[in-house]
Amino acid sequence: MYASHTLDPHTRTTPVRRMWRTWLFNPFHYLAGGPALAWGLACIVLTASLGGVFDYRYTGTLSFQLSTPTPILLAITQGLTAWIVPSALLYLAGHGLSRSRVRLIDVLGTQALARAPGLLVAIIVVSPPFRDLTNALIAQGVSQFSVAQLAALTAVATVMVLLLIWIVLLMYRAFAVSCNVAGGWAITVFVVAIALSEVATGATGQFLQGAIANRTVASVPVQSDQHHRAAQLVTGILQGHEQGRFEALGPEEATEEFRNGFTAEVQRQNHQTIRQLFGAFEGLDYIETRFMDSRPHLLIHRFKGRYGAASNVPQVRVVLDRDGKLAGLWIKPWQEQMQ
Amino acid sequence: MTSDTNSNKDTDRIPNPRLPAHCPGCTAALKVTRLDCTECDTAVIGGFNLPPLARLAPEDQAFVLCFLQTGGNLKDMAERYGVSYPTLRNRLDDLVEHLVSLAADRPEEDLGEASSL
Repeated sequence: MYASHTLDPHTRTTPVRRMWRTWLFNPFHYLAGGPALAWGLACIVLTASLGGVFDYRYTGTLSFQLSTPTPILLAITQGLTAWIVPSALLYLAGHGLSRSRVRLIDVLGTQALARAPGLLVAIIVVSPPFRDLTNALIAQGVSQFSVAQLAALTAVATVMVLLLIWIVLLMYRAFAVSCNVAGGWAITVFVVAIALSEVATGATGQFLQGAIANRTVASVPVQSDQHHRAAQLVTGILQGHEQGRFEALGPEEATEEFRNGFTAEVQRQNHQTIRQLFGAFEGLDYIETRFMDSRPHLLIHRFKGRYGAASNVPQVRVVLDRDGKLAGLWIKPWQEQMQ
Repeated sequence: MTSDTNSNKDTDRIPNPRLPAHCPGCTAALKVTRLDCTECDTAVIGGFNLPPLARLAPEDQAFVLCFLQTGGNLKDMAERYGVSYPTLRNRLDDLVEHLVSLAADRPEEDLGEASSL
C-alpha cells in the first residue's frame, strides 16, 4: 500500500506530545530553507564564539576539543566549516540519490539547524563546574579522582554522548527531508558523507589554524611599567624550578584559571621539557609589551630568555591581567613576529 | 463482498459517504459495476475502473484540491498546511509517484498524456 509523508496529523489534529517530539527530532517538518538557515547560523556562530572565548573549538564535523586560546575568527571559521563541508557533501549525495528536486537552501538551512544542540554542548563546556572538573582532570589525572568526581565525569560524558547522538539524528533527518530520501541507501550515503566530512573538516581546520592562528597576533605595542612585575614574577617561578621548588601559586600572584592549570605537577613536567630544549634558566631580557584587540584586558610582555644552551634563545611570553595577576606563560623558540 | 439493493438507501442516509477505492476484505481495487441516472432512473451496468484521482485516499484528494486551489504554489500550500516547503514538496512527489503507478495499472488513462485544451 502507498504511504505518503503525512501532513494532516501535524496540523490541527496533532497531539501536543507528538508535536513536541517532532520539534525535537524532526523540526525540519515545520522549518527549512531561509528561516532554518538563519536560526541555525545564529546557533553555530554563538557556539563557535563561546569556543573562542572559553578556549575550545571544532576539530571535525562532530568533534571538538578544549584547546589553547583560540582567536574568535578561527573558532567561528571552524564552526562554519564543520557545517558547510557536510552540507556540501550531502547536497551532492542528495542530487545523486533523490528523485525530487533538491534545493541548496534547504540542505544548508536544515543542516545548520541540525547543529543547534551544539549550543547546549557549548553551555556545558563553559559552565564553571565543567571547567573545574576538566582542570582537576588535567591536574590530578583520572586515577586520583574521588567517587563524586568520577560520577560527575561519567554524567557529563553521558550527556555529551546523548547530545552528539541527537545532533547526528537531526543531521540525518535534515538530509532525509531536504533531499526526500529514506531507507538503507540513504543511511549508507549519509554515514559515508559524514565520515568524509569529518576527515575533510579536520584537514581544513589544520589549514585554517596555520592560516589564522599562526598568523601574527593582531597586537599593538604599548608602554607599560607592568613588565617589571612580569619579569619579577616569572623569574621567581623559573628560578624556583631550577632549585627543585614546584609550588602552587597564590591568589595574589595569578588568576584562578591559571592557578588551576599551573599545578605543581604541570610545572615539574614543563620544567623538564624546557630544560631539555633550552638548558638551565639564567634570566630574562625585556623586549616589548603588547595588547591584543581581541583581549584588551590582558597585556603580553615579551622577554628573551637567557638559558644555558645559548644557541637556542627562547621567547618567554608573560600575560598579566589588569590587576597584575599572571594569566598566561609561554616559553617557546624565539620569533621576531609575535605569533 | 456482495452489494445488495439497499446500498442506495444507505447512501441516502449517510451525508457525503466516502467512495471506497479498495475492497475492505482483501484491499484489492474496487470497480464500479452500476451507475444510475439521478433524473430518469436509467441504469448502466458494466465494469468500470475508478479513475486514478478517485482511487486516492480522501486526504490525498484534499491535497490535490488544495494544490489546484493555490494554483500549484507550493509555498502557499506549505503555509496552509503549517509545514516546511521540502516537507510539502516531498508529499507532492510521493503523491505524483503514486498517481503514476495507479495510472500505469490502466495504460488507457495514462496521466502523462495531456488531453486537448
